[in-house]
Amino acid sequence: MRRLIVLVTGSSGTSYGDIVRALKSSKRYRIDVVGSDCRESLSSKHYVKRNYLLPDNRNPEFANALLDLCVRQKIDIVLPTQTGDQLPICERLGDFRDANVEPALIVTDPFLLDVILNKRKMLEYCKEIIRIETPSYSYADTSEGLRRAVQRLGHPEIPVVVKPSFADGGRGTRILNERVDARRRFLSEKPDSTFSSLNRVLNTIGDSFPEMLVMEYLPGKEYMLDTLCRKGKTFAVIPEIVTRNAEGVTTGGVVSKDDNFDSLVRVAESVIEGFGLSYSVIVHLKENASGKPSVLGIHPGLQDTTVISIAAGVNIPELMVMMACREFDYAYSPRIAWGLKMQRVWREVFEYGGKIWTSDK
Amino acid sequence: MAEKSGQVTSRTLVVLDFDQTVLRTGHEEDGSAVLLKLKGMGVELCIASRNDRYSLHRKLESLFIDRAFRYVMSDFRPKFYQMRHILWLYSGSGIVFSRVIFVDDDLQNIEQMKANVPNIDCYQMGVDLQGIQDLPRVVVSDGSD
Repeated sequence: MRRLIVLVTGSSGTSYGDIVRALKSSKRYRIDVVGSDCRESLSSKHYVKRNYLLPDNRNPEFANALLDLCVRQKIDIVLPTQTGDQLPICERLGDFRDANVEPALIVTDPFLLDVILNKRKMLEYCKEIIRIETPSYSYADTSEGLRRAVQRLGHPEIPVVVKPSFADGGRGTRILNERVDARRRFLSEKPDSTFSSLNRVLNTIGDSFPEMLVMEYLPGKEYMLDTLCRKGKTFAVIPEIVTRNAEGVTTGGVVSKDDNFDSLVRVAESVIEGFGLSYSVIVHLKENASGKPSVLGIHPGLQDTTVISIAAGVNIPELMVMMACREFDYAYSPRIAWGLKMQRVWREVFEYGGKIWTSDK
Repeated sequence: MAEKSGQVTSRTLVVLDFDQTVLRTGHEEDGSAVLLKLKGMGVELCIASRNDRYSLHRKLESLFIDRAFRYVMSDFRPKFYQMRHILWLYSGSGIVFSRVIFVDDDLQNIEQMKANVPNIDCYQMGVDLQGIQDLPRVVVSDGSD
């Protein structure tokens, strides 16, 4: 078996353990997993023997520090698990490759990557260039502009969504719904910051702010399409219907072929071809008021929902390693366990007396 | 350039494939002079390529023509998406072209371009053009040849 040293970033992440297990289960490679993150965590220590602290990926020193770590630890492949890792690595891709390190990036052009990671640019690109269904949207960077933008989309008569154009994993996302029964929610539901009102958002963010995207609220079924792709060609689409969501993380889902399946696959293939994507992305969609799935986001790399695809039979982390090694079989055809359900539960990690263990062992 | 309702209707845009087009064996040095001549004529130049981005940029720098191109698309998208992207970027700056020319040696790319982006004058390198040195003739023609 070929031996590889793979650095998987984001070692304090929710699904990190599942990604490490998926890599270690490889029958093709003997993979030593090295972890990195910008903060210490017990789970990092539990899942990988070698875990290193790096600057936050917004820090200008992040790419330097990561490259230095890769050289010192003789890393063969980098699998980024945080969206914010992609751009700084992409900007230094030549240096990584010169050091014989292959980062698994969804595209190799920072200019194109910026379009994918900026929600407003991504929607514009999907609408104007790929020509697929997107929600109605507008954007603003002043309070007056935001008021006008939400009005243009029919607010307050209908709910709208506001979110920063550039932010990770649901941060800053609010549904503005003036008709939501705030009293009932206050008394009967757990604290939840998703619903808000325009005035409350404006009071929080002030008169001017980084660009905010204002979008039509999509009321229907929510899908996360986990995909496997190489150079714009699609090899697998694993559609997960989201059944539960907490703080932007999918906590319940089912791998399912429903009535939308064919159109979901077409959208995923169009997105992958239209951006020329590689490795794995999650295409996030929701049904609009007329039941048509509409693109909400494109999330690069290994994400929290990757775990359901692994359980459904598509070992995406291992397949990404094969792609990075240029050993991926282009005739690959996935065998998916349709109907597989997932419910995310807590698993505690303990540390005492120099030992670390989890609550399920 | 003529201005129409806030938009600038510009001259000609030429979008070139890289391998076997910009790098047409035996004509590379001539090509550099031709591209700079076209720039001097006010022609906007871009590249639509599926080559590796880093080797492409290195080659452009080694030929001293990297500054001749406004947008260099080198990724795995079909070329008609790269063309739409280039036109979208220009239109975002208020620039609309009176004529857009696409040159590629691959007939399939040309057919895909014709099918997906209207009003593009397409030329096949090696068939319609024998080298980059033929480009000025095409640019000054009305596109009917």
